[in-house]
Amino acid sequence: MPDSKLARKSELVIEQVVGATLAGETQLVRVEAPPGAGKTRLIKRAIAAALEADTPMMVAVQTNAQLADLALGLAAELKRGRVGIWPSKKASAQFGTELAQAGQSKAVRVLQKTKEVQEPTVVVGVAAKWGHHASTRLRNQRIDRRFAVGIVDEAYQMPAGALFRFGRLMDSLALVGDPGQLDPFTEIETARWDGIEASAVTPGPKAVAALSGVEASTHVLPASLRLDERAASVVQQCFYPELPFRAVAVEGDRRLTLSAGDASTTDRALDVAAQHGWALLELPARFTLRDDPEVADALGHLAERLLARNANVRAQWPPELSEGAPLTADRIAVATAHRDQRDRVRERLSAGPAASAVVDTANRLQGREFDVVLVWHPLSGRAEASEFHLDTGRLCVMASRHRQACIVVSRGGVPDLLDDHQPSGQRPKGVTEDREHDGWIAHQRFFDALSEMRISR
Amino acid sequence: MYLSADAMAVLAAEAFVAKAAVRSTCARHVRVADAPMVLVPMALAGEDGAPLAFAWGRGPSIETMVVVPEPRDRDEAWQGLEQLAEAVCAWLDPIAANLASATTSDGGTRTPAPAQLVLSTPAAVTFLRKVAYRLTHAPDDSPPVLRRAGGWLQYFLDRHELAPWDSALLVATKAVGVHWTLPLAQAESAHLLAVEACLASPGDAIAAAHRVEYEPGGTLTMPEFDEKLLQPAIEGYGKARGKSDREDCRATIASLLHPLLSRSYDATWALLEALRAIPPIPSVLADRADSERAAFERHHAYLEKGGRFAAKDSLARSILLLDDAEETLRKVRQDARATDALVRAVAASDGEALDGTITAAEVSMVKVTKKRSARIDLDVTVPGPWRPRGEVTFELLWDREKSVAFEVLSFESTGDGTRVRLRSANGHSIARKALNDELAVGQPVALVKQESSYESFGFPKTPWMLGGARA
Repeated sequence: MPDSKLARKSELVIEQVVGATLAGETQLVRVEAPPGAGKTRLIKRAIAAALEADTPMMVAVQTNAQLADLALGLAAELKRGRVGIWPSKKASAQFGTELAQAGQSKAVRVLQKTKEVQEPTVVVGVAAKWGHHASTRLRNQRIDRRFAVGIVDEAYQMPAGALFRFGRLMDSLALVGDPGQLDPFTEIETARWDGIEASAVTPGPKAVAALSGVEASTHVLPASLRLDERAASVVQQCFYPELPFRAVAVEGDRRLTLSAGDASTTDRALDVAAQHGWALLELPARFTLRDDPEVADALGHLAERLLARNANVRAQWPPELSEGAPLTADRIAVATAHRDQRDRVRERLSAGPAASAVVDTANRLQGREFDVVLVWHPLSGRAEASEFHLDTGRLCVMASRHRQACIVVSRGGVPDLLDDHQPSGQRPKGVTEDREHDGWIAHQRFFDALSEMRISR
Repeated sequence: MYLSADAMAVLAAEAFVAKAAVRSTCARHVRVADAPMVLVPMALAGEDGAPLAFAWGRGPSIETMVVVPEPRDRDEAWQGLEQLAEAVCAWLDPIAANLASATTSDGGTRTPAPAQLVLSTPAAVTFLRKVAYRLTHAPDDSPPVLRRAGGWLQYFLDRHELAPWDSALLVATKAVGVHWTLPLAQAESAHLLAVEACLASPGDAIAAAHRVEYEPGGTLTMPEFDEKLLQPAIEGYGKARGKSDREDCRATIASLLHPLLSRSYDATWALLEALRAIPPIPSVLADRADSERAAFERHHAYLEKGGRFAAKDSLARSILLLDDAEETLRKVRQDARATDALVRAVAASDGEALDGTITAAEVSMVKVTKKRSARIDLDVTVPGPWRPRGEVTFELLWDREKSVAFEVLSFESTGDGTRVRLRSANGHSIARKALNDELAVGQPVALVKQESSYESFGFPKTPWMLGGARA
C-alpha cells in the first residue's frame, strides 16, 4: 500500500503553499519540488482556491502542451468558478481539439482575444505570451490588468529574461519548479554572463532572489507521486543530494509484468527492468558517431519487445490501473540528448508496432510522465565528456519520467570515460556552482546504482 | 552553421578527396563592405595581450602601420594604443554623425553603409577583446579617445560574440568556413595563410596549406623569428640612448614586422575578394545591413550618453543583447533557407524544408473564433523520401507580403517521391486569389521551417522584483 503518512504530509505542504500564496503575507513564495511531486496538482489547487476567494490570479506555464494539459485537468476537476485559458494562435492550431474539449466544460473559458483577459478571476497562459502582452511599449494588445497573485510553473526552466517581462502584472509571485532539471537553454553563446547573479539566462527564481531582496517563503514538496521507492532512491541520491524526498508508492505498489521472453539481451534487460524498475543495456564499447544506429536499433527493439511481450502495468494510482492494464505504445517514451538521435529512433520505430511511442529530447520531455522510459545515455560512444553531456539536469530528466521502469542503453566504457575525464574545477570568478563537476559526480553515482542491473551484449 | 552535421561530414569527405575547398552554400550570406576597415593586430608571444604592432587600411594595401617597439613597457604600449584609438574614432565618429544627420524627420531614407570591421582569424578577435578591455578601462586621466575607441571596438566584439553570423565584425577565416568546406583540420581552418593557400590551390589544397603552416597565421610571430631577429631588435631598442638611436631601432623593428603584417593583410584582403566573388542575395544583405545600422546607432547613443562598459552586464543589458542575438540568429537561418538552394536542400533532407510541386489545392471557409475565414489545403509532392522533423510549422516562400504558415497533416510515399498534405494554420483571404496563380496545381512550391517568436520589447521595470519598494 502507498505510504499514506507521506502522502498526507505532502498534501499538508500543498495546503500551506496555497494558503501562503493567497494570503499575500509574503510577496515571494518559492516551491521546490522533485520529479512528480505534484506541481500541477498544487497549481490546480491554487486556482480553485483563488476562484473560491475571488482573488485575481495569473498563471504562466512554459509550453503549449502544458497549457492544454492544464486546461483539460481543470475542466475535469474544477467544482466551482470558471478559469480563463488564454492560448496563442499556435497553441490553438496545435491543441485545438484539446482546448475545444476543455472549453465545453463550464469550468473553462477559452479566451480568444487579448481584451478578454481583463475578465476572468484566474487566467492561465504561456509565459512567452504573457511576456509579450505585458510590454508597456506595445500599443495595441497590451495588458494593463494587475493580478494579486502570479504563479509560474516550471520556474527553474524559465530564464530571468522571460520572467521579468511580465513582473509588472502581479503584486506577488509564487515560483513552482524543480531545481534539479535542465537550466534555461539558448543557442547563443552565454559565457559572458557566467558568474553574474542575474542575467537574461539565469533561472528566474535565482534572479528574483538576487535582485528583489525579498525574503521568500520557501516550501519543499517532500514526496514523489510518480517515482516509486526503487526509482526515487536512485534519483534522489544521484541528482538531488540537497533536496531530500521519498516516494509515496512503496515496493509492490507498482508492477510491470511481461510474458515469457527469450534469452536475448533485450529480453533479459526487460526482465531486469520489470523486477528492479531499472536496467542498463550495454552494447559493445566503441567510439561512434552521435546518432549511433546500433543504439537506435536497441532502443527500438526494446520498445517493440515490450509490446510483443504483452507488457502489463499495475499501480495503486490512478484507479484504472489498480487491476492492471496493457502497456500501450504512447505510454512508452524514448529520451535522447540530441535531435539527430531522436530522429534516428523515430525513423527506427516509424514502421513498427511502437510507432506511437513518444521519442524526444530531454528538453522536450521535461514535465511529462510515462510508464516506461528508454534512455539513450548522453555519454554513449563518446570519446570525451563535454559539459553538455555531463549536465546533471539532462540525465535527471531522462531518469525521472517513468512510473514503472527505466532502461538505459549505452555503449560500454562510459565508467572508464568518466574516470578519464576529471573535471578541471575551473570556474569563472563569482560562480559558486560547478555544473560539470556536479554532473560528473551524478553520472558516477548513477552508473554505480545501475551496476547490479547491467546486461552486456 | 547552415548545414546539418551529416551534410558537413559529406562535404568534408568530398573536399578531402578532391583536395580542394568545396562550396557549402550557393550564395553569399555575409555582407562585404566596399571599404571595410581591415585591421591586423600582432601580439608579443609570451606576454598576454601585449600589443606588438597594428596595421590597418580600407583598401587592398596597408594604409597605416603602428609598431610598439617595447610592448612590455606600459608607456610605449599606451602610445601605440592611442594611435590605434585615434584611427578607430576617426573612422567611426563621422559614420555615426552621418547616420544621425541622415535620419530625417520627414521620413528620409538612411543610406550610409554600416561600418564593417574585418579581422583575419578568431585569434585576432581574442586579442582585440583584450585591447578593447584595456582601452575601455584606461586610467581616468588618459585621453578620452582611448575609452571612446574601446567603446567602439566593444560594439563589434559584442555583436560578434553573441551573433557570430553577423557581418558588423567579419572574421575572414570564419566567413570562408561558412561558404566553403575545406579539406583541413579545425586548427588549420583558423590559420589565415593555410586558408588562403587552400582556396588558391584547387587540387593541391592540402599540400598548399601544409607549406605555409610554419608561417604566422594568427596574431603571433614564430619562435625562430622571435629568437633570432625580434628579440635582439627589441633589446637594441631598450639599450639605445638618444632619440636618433631609438628611432633607428624602431625603424629596424618596423622593417622586420612590415613583411609579416603585409602578408597577413594581403591574405585577409584576398579572402574578402574570394567572398565578394560569390553572388550575394541583395535583398537579404540589405535587410541585414539595416539591422546592423540600427544596432550601431543604438550603441552610438549609449556612447554619447557616456555609457561605460562595466565588467558585468546588467540584467537589462543582457536581455537586450540576448534578444538581439536570438532575433538575428532566427533571421539569418530563415533567410539562408529561403534564398540558398543548397541550404534549403539540406534542410529538406532534415525535414525542415520542402521543395516540390503542388498536386492538389483547395480553399475552404471555416469558422475561426467568431468569423469565417479561408483555409488552404495543399498537397505537395516532393522527390524522394521526406518526413518532417518534429512538430514543425512551415512558411510558404512567395513574393506576397502576407506570410502563410502551414502544418503537416500527413505524408506518404508515392514510390519515387512523397506526398505531403499541408494545411494553413490560419485563414487568409488572399488564398483564393493565389489558387489561380502561385498555388495552382502543377506549380513548384517551396516551404521552410518557420522560426517564429514574439517580437521583443525589452522588459518593463517591476520595482519590487528589482529591489525597489513593494507595490
